[in-house]
Amino acid sequence: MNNKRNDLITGIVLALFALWYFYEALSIRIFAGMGKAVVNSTTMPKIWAVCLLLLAGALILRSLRTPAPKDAKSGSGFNLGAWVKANYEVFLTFAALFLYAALMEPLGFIISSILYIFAQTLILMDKGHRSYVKALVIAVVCSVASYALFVYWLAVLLPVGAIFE
Amino acid sequence: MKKFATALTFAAALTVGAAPAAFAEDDYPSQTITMICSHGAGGDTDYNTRLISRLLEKRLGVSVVVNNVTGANGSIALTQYKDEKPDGYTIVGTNAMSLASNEASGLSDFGYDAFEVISVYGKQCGENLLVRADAPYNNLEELIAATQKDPDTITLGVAMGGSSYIAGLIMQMDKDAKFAMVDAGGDGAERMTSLLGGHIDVTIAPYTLAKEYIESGKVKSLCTLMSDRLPATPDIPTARESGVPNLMIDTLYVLLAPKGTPKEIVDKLSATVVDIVNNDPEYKEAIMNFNFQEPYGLNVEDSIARLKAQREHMMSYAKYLQ
Amino acid sequence: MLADIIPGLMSVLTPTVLFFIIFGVFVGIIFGSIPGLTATMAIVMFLPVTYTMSPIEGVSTLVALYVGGISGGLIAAILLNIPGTPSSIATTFDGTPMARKGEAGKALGVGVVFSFCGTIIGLLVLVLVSPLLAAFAIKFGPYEYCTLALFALSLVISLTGRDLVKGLISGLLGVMLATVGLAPVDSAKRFTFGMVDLNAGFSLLTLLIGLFAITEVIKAAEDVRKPVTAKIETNVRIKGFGFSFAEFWSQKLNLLRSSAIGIVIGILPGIGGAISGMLAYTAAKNQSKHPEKFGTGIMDGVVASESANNAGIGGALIPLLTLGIPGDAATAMLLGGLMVHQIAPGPLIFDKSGVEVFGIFFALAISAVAMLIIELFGIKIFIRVLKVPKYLLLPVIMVLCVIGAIGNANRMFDVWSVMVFGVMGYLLIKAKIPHVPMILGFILGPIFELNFRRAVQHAQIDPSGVFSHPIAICFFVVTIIVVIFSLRRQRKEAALLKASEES
Repeated sequence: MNNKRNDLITGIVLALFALWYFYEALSIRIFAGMGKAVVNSTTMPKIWAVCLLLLAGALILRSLRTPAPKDAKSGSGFNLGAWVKANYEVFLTFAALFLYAALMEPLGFIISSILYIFAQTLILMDKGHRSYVKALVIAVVCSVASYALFVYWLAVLLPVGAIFE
Repeated sequence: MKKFATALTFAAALTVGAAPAAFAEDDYPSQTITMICSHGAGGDTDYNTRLISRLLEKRLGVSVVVNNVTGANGSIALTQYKDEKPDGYTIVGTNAMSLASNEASGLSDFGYDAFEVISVYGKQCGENLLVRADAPYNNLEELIAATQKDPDTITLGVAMGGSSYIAGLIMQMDKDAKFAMVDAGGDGAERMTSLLGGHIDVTIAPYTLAKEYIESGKVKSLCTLMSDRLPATPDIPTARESGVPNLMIDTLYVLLAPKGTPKEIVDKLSATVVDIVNNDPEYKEAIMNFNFQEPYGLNVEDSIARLKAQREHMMSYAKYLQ
Repeated sequence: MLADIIPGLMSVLTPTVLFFIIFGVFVGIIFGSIPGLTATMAIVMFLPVTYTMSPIEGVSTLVALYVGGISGGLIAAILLNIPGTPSSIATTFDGTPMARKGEAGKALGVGVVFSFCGTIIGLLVLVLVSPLLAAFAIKFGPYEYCTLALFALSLVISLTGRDLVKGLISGLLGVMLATVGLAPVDSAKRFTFGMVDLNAGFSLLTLLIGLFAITEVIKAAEDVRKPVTAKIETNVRIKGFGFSFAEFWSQKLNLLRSSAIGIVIGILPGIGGAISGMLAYTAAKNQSKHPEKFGTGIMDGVVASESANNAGIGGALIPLLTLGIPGDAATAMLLGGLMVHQIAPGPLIFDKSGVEVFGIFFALAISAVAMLIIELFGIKIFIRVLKVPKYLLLPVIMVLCVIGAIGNANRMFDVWSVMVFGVMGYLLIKAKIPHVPMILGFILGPIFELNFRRAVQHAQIDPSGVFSHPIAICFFVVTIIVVIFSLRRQRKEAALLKASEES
């Protein structure tokens, strides 16, 4: 993706977001009690939305004006499959993070953290030097230690895990 | 060291609890009780919750661990824990004013009856109506008369939708006071600052915050909004005595259990709490030192009646709150 | 009053109090240095413990946690490019580039020493002129805060880098994110879509973790298959503070200016330390003879950020002690700690609790010294973090961030926020939109809106009142000047950058 097309897409996405945000701002309930003022809870959001729309517009215009670079490959649309292939560590990292969040309540903090650290370490490790034992040891030690520290000593409510209830 | 002991008990409790917790109500409590505080650490609700939990721990013989779940005037915690497992091992400490005003303002769609009420176990030292010491009015009647003489010029700094706002509302509606109401912050300290800085003329803030300024002669209190005079300040009249009978704002501290918690457990907790409040000298001293509070503990029936009355009072102003 | 100095000093110089101070500073540094855990959280977690201590023990512990926590943030900011606490955001701007150049030891030394200097300057101001400054603080009403927030927002222009449009977009997105939840003034629900959890809005902490910590993990993931670039040898052995006295002396103006900014922002309730570092950084950049070097790894940037955020501690204690007004979440906690021990902040505090107040002053001074010593010795250990491979370090840091997110308000919702902000941070990098203006917008947007709405309420009652606020008018004029000035400079800088890229 070149700069020109990048900016164009960004501009369009932001403009759509600004429009949606403005539309949502219309449905905010206005305080009906005493002490009301000309400025209410919808005023600033509407102003922010208009500002963002203008800036998005500027971005779109700017990208349309810049001449397309010569080496730009035209016509290749965004391809999720290709992106995942080129960036699969990034994709896996996001997948691991979201799975971590999703599994935390059912499996509890300890197990989900062990799984996450293990997976993330393997993702980040150099392919040639992967050490499953090292990753597992770090995962178990860190998860259990941090759970013990924060739950027992500092009284943070870390999820125990629904399956243990 | 105590924390460590707590941790050990908790650890022990967990290992025991790993077997399906088949609890009988008569051996309650047998494991750690988690008490959720709906407001942030350092505030009065938090202090009262932690104090009662510490003393409960002594009486019940199990750990009582307080966790603050904060946000949106306590409504996050209340929404999250009203449907918690009703086994008596999770209870919520909050203040009843948030509970009632959140319902009246539409922030939450439930009231005290979404919970099993354990006890109203404390009462704040009271919001006071404050003006700067050089203000020309010396009591509530004079102030209201002054607002009628110059309508919409005397600024009353309130927290929109909060108890101070409702107090202003009552004065406007019942006594035809003509304040210019402005927002001056949800935190009493913020409203005090605005008053001292001359940004507003009148405000409402808890006595604890105003005390130092009253003593140093910078601010004067026209009345307290509590239903009765505070024993620590017998000279400050109530708003009721000053001709506005409806102007009563009592901030009550309350313990709630998730709906469906067995009656035996609620009764046992309630009796223990009320006993601590009424008979424990350590409790009495601690709340007096912190906040000039007087012991105030109600059993289950009286607590429910008190909360019901407060809810009705608040709901009658609901349309001005949304 | 002066008779209380010696008893105050003696009350702190007991073995238990000294132990609690050193312990507090140590724990504070740990909390501050781990991304996701903040100074505020350290205080929240230890506050209940201090309820049962004696007044001077309890308050000293809290002050020590505060000092350690605020300064500890610089470690992660320099070594990991993740601000350990919100107040050390600006430390990443030059601290990380310094570390990349192999000057991590120097950067840490500079950060630690100037944190100490900032703390001491803040303390001196607190001791010497607090009543005067407290009187200044209460003069700030809606008009003043509204224009001050506007002024601080105008800094977005200076912080954007080369692309003004994208910088402004980032700032606006931050402001818009902050509108989720209950509106200021009337608590109307905005953009909550019926989700109860959204009523409380997003917390700054989750945004910081998402934008800084997750993006570091993603960057590491992107680099896995890239050929390893020549390793920069980090000089682990540093002598003394890692920098010369001449270098120290060259920063004297920067130190004083940044500390002054930190103190002023600290005094004003509700602005917070995260802003003071960024303000001091831009001020240092704007007044520097070589502004173009900022961001490439020069010590000036670290000096500005770290002296400002630590000077803010003394600043924040001024309204706390003399007015009973907490300036941020951490001082709100301290207020609770004081009240529990019957130290009633307010105009009478010197008369009623003089011994305790001087005790607090000495506790702060001792905490600063303890912080200096612990961190200077610690540098050699901290720096080893750079030797730990990222694949071991980052996953563990992520887990600690998640704990921090949960511990912030004890709810799972914040974990999901972190993940979503992480994706957003990644997309922003791909769209070449900078992150920092977003933080600025997120913090300042609500302050601006709240005070703008209040100011309008006041103006409706008394329209002529607008002109009787000289401070506000002054801020407004300065804002306009700054906007014009930085727009011109920004254009020049962008042109320079472009020219250097094309040549």
